[in-house]
Amino acid sequence: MKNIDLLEKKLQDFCNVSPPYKFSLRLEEEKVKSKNIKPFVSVACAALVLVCALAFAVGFGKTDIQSNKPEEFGFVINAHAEGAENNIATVGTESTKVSKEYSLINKDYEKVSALSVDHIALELTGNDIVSYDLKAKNGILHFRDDLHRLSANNVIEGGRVFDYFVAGSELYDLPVDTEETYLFWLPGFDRIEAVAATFEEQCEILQTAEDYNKYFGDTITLTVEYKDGTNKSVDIEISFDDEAYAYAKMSAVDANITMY
Amino acid sequence: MNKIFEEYVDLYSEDLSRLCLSLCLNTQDAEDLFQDTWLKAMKNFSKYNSDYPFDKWLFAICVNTYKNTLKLCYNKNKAIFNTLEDKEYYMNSIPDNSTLTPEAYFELRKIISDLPKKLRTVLVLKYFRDYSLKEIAEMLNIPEGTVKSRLHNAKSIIKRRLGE
Repeated sequence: MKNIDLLEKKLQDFCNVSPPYKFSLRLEEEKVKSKNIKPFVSVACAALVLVCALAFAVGFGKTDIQSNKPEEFGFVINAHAEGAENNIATVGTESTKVSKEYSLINKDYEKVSALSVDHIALELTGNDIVSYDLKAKNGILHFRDDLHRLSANNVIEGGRVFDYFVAGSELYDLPVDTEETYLFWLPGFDRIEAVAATFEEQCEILQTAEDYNKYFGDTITLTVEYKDGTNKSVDIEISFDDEAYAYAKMSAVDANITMY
Repeated sequence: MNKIFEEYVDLYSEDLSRLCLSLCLNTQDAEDLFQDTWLKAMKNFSKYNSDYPFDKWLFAICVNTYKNTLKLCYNKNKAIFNTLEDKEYYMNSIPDNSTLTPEAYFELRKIISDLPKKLRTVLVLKYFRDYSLKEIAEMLNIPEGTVKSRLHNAKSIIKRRLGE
């Protein structure tokens, strides 16, 4: 069997394995009832926590924010570079979990052709995050603000690009509304046009990693602010190799951050 | 609950469970998606046009709910199985003539779970029911060319990561 046929069969089999679970629909009334109960339970829990915290503070003279589990301060970034809709570029992904204690970078590289990069998406997940700041060091990648706003409203696709970073500028205190936030970046249009104008000769003009990085490479600095007032920053370096494939490399900016 | 709707629930809950698990790849999110899908379907049942296949209408609600709900991939790294018995049951349900061994299943599951959500959605719809590009485009309300390129991208990544 040809490889492609085998892959087709594997995917069919994967999606058609009968699961041991057949979920059952809970009646709407139960769902509504449980939704009504939730606020009451939340308020009751919050009140209980408050009473305990007050008792603790009165009893010991302080509250201890650092008593949170270490992983509650971590955040996870998934970075991927994605090709434009009508080409066959591949998608790159990288996951890096950042916490106060540990370090792990450059995991599972994937590739995407520089000439067909549509956008770089960073997917940010974490607890106790109140906001984040962004900065593109070289001004090559531009923050796609409309997509961010749509994402915050749980709509991932669509929308017109109407707001960009200008080179060297920064955005501060973007609120985090959801448990998972998508940050979209794309190369500046002037640079894409510069390449498109010489499309026929692009192989001659853009031949090395240095050429590709000149047009498309950049480093995004992401600073996350936690509820306790502390900030943690990482650099996400988007670079390209001699074959125009993209890589995302993440590194800690703060001396007191380690990554894993 | 409307009697006709109740019949649909009986008829399609198993397939919907399978779709939710294929998309979410973990039980918690899959069950949330399952409930949300049926509740949305129930709420909008009066708008359902019976000339259109019910399964496609239901699955379109499911994939769009999945696509638009960010929290539904929050638990993507959690286990798909609640217990070891569940895992064993699942593995035993793989047909003998399948191309997937349990090891191959988990390898593929890991690769698919790493795919961006929109690539995974198109991939699952394609292989879950062998929907055409046109049908998937209609369900997701995106151009057919977009479906084609996403499917191609998804398969390229999987193929490369499988080393094929």
